Amino acid sequence: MDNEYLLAKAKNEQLHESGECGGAVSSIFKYLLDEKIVDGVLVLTKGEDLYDGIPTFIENSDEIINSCGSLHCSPTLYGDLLSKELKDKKVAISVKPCDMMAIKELEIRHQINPENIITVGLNCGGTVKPVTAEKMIKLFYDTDPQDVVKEEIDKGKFIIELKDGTEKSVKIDDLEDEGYGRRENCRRCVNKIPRQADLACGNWGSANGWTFVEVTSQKGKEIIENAENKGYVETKTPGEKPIAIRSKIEKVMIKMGNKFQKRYLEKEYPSINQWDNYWNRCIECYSCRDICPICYCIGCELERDFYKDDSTTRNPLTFQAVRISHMAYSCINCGQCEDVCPMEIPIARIYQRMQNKYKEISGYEAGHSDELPPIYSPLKE
Amino acid sequence: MSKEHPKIVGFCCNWCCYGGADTAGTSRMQYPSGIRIIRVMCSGRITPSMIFKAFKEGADGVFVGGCHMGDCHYDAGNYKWNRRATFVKEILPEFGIDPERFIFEWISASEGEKFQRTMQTFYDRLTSEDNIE
Amino acid sequence: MKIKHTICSYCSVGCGLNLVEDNGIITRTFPYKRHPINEGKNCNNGRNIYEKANQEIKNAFINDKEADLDDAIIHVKDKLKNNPSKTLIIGSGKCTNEECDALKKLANEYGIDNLVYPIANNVLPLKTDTTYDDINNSKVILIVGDILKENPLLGRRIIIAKDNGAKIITVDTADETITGINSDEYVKIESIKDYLDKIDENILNEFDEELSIIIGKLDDNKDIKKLEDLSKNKNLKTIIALKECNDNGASNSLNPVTTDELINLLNSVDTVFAVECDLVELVGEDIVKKIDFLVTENNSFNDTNKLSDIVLPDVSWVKKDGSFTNMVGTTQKFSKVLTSTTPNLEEIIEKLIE
Repeated sequence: MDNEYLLAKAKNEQLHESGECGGAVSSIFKYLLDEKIVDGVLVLTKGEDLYDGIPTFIENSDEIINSCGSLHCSPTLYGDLLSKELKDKKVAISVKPCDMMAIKELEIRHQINPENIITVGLNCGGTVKPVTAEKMIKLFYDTDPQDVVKEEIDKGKFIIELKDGTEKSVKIDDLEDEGYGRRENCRRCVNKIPRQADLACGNWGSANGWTFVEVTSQKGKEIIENAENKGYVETKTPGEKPIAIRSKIEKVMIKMGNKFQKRYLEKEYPSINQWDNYWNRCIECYSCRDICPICYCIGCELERDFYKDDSTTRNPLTFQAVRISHMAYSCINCGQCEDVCPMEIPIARIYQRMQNKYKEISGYEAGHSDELPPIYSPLKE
Repeated sequence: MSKEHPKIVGFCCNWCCYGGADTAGTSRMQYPSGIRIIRVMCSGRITPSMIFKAFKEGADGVFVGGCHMGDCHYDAGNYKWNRRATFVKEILPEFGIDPERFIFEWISASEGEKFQRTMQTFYDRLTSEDNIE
Repeated sequence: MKIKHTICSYCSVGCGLNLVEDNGIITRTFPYKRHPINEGKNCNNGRNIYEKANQEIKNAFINDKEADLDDAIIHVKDKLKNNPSKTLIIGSGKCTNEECDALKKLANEYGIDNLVYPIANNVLPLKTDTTYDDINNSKVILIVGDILKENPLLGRRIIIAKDNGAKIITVDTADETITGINSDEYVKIESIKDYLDKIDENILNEFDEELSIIIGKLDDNKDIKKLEDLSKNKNLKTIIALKECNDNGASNSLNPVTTDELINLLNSVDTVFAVECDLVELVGEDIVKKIDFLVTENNSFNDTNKLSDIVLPDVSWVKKDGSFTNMVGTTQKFSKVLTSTTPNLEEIIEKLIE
């Protein structure tokens, strides 16, 4: 099936107003809930403030409105919620590319049943850590973070909208040069449009008040057609220009991602001595393992007795090396491990580097395949 | 790295390489005494963690011997190991271990001479003045 | 499935924590990246604390037998009235600020003067205006104890400071500690007291006012006074790493006592009302057995409960509204994540006062 392009927007006025780019995604969720096609929708909702995104399972379509608007400052990952707490439910879920890759890897490991989920992809130019975002808004925008009502990443800028309607923007490059801006992983990311999802939505190339939708699967096609027939969304065909703009934005983003990969994974990659210093910090909290969307084993090899000794620090050969040999070929560069490391070890770098190396030797790109990495293959080849 | 008496941990598959080591022994072929052989049922049974554990415990070199491709007693064990081993070769240098300190080879039960030769070459490499770290 | 905020109750750093609630049970934790103290990072203890979150003791017990709560309350009231001067109320750094206040009210009501809570490692809370961010920006940090192990998320601040170019000096009595390994200088000492007695020549003369001090343990709690004076006079940034989540807040209503002081007190009273603490673990079974009349209140069974005359019900912090004050003096409110019909400490104390 050739991917189809559409522009879509909500017919419901409230969703059209509150939702991002015309509220098409919210409307699709409302349709899925109203028609009882899914048991619930897993989305981010605003917690204490704009910087506090909380994964929420919405079962009542009236509450969809709470999930409207984008939250770039909450780098969460949904994979494990789907494979653990929501395992037996039919769920529709809004996914960033890394969420989608995590889901894909969990699907091929039979931890998520693809028939139980509907994935609505969201284009992603990166996320910002909430505490970093607050500091950055104070410092670069000279604004009280609590005055910000909306934030957006567009045309290489991080844009904030204030209560009084004014907008302020700073170039992301300038922010990142000073150690703020997007998470390091997001900078290195080269998967910007989640085409593995059933639908890939976003504002790139879209006209004001419309969402640009790439229909990437048969399932997605049926959903959007039915949602339109039932009067939830309105669609139109985009012209050549929006399609070209969108693809240009994607290309630029990927180019930047590759540039950052070169920088962080090669040029500025820590030396063996630096790594030894990093490994010395490890307090064996297993945060990196527990948050990892790829790791799902019950009874982890890392906790086996034969790795235990009475040294003060754990030898990385019997910790991170083992972990790498178990999952790095499937590392999707979501960066959660680095986010949760209490000792500030830039651990995601080694994983992405190893996935890149594995891609070189085997051709396997994590998060994109319907089959397990070749390392699991039973074949004689 | 240049060591006078390097210790080599050798994982040998029961059906081929271990037999090869046996053949070398019964034919009184001389090979370095620093090698400690661990018999496993199949090279496909070996996990990367075993290699890492051996290095962590202070092995100077780790050797894995399996059946020739197509000869695996369990059909495809050595193919699986081969895929893992190529990845292990990539992981080791990330932790400061020269990948040259880790080798794997296909040796059949009749190839006592190949076993001896492989061990001698590996031993020589580990003791040489070349820059193996 | 719901995800809700709470504050970690394992140590006194005061990390934020998200709990995943599924069908009325806390199934695991989830990073709370918005929280300014830990930014979604938690140690192993913190992440595993969800196991304790579900705990509660539903009923009262009299002499190890399940009993009616009202009967138990009447019994306790009688005993408390009996001889206030021979009665000891032991609170805990695990209690919320509100519970500590309630305990104080209870003591006042009955005219009980002995109102204490046990503290570990001989450290006492110290009121300073030092913040965690001060540690990030420190130039030189002196650490006593194994902070990276005991309070990893305070340890993280030390690591950040080190990455920012700070010089880290750790002193401890062990041969090797993880904090020591990650320091620029590790000094093995025989006695912390001796080291602090000579702190001037040991370190202060060299670094003077750019020094930050983090204390995880002491030999003698009197050294706290010395550190307090030092911090004030030299304007040093000082943090005392306490053990329990509200060790700092509890000191507002209760008197902190070291284990030795607690043993002395226990030997001098007849009736003891102990809340959220495991006396057997603290002072040993023999001393606990000698107590004439022991009332305990916990949210999970421990060895002390077995030796108690009366056990009162309680629930975990996840089923309460309240606040903890962390080691740097930040009071953080948290609300109920789970609801429970079991009476909590505050409600029990109300009944005791009625």
